[in-house]
Amino acid sequence: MTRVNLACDDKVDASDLVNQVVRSQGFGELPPKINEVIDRHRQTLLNLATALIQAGRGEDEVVSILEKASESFSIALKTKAEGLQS
Amino acid sequence: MNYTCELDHFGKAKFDEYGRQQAVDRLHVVGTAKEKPFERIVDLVKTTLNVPICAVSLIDNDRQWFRASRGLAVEQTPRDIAFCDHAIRADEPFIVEDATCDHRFANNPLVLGEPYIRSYLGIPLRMPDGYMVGSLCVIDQQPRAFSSSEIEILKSFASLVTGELELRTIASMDGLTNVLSRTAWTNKVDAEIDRTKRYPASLSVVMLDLDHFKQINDNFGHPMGDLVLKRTAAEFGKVLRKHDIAGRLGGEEFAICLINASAEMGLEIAERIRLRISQLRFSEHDMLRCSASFGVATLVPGETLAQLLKKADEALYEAKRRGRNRVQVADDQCLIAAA
Repeated sequence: MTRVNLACDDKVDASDLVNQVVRSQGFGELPPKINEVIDRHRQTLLNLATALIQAGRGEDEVVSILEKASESFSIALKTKAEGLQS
Repeated sequence: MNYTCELDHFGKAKFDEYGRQQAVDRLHVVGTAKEKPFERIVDLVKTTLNVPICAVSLIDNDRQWFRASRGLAVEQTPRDIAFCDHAIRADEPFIVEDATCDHRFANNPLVLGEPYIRSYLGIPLRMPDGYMVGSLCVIDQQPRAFSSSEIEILKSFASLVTGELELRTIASMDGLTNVLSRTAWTNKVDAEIDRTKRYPASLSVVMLDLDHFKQINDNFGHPMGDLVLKRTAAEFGKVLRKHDIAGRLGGEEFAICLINASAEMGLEIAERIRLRISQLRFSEHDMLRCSASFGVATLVPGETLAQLLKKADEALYEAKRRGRNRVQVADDQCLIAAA
């Protein structure tokens, strides 16, 4: 679990922030190949959250960026998954 | 202006340009319209890193194509002036803090003129197979040193772009035969037909259907049926040109779009594929033989893909009716029976 010090000495858990965002997207059941991409996507979000926190960005801003980053992926994923089933 | 970049990593033997180019081709994105997922990412990068210019750039043979960009007035540039062409030559961030002080770029037209690049940070887009297909880059018109945090942030965004490209590839390919899925094939051929309206060119479609495929499944089992489908599709690649488009329409039916191909050329290519399929042999079952019937149709200006496919399908039906394992051209222009 990644823990990063904020300037105010609070501890913000990047993993918690990512889980919070990904849970809200609700990817559901998908083919294994796509699940592999999703796993890498989660790791990417975790890395992004960590980098943003290290850059001194506030928790709200980090969550907002993660949501937007994941939203793009989620829309793409939905479209692609639908395409696979057609 | 005759300008050529000196590339730091150009001489490295491990830089496999041929394989890299094939990886770019597999994405089926070069030269196509910009897409929202990439545009959302560049918007987010631009805001997060507070830069005036951001782009998702893919590097083709001789061009860089911007799949999405902010702050750039062009959709492509020649490859030999592209900063991103440097970025794809190593699996690490490519940084230029002040282009005017860098001998590689001081005379670059993108530095001397629009968009007046002064500083650049590019992260190569590394696909799972290891090939760098392009880069996610940020550009400033002022000298700028990028912090390690900024580099890490851009690396994460680059991974998001790569994930999106992966999704595209998975969704557009038929999992069994590794040619385009029906939806992806239709979209791509539709775009090609649109292109012929702007740049008139001949275009032919070949439809093919494996003969007695149900019997293959019944007699040899579905795994062998799947193998026949895979081996059939693999033969396409041995005959088709790089820009031709092969897809699986469903079941044992395939379609191939031949760009810049007359009916005669369509007939010739279909015949070569027909011959190859009829010569397939399977070590798993010595007795197994297969063949396919073909219908070829050529686009008439103003025709839609649906109309073109209907002509090819009717020709295919005629090939089946006349005994299978043969190529039939629409409109009875020509008929070839298999040997």
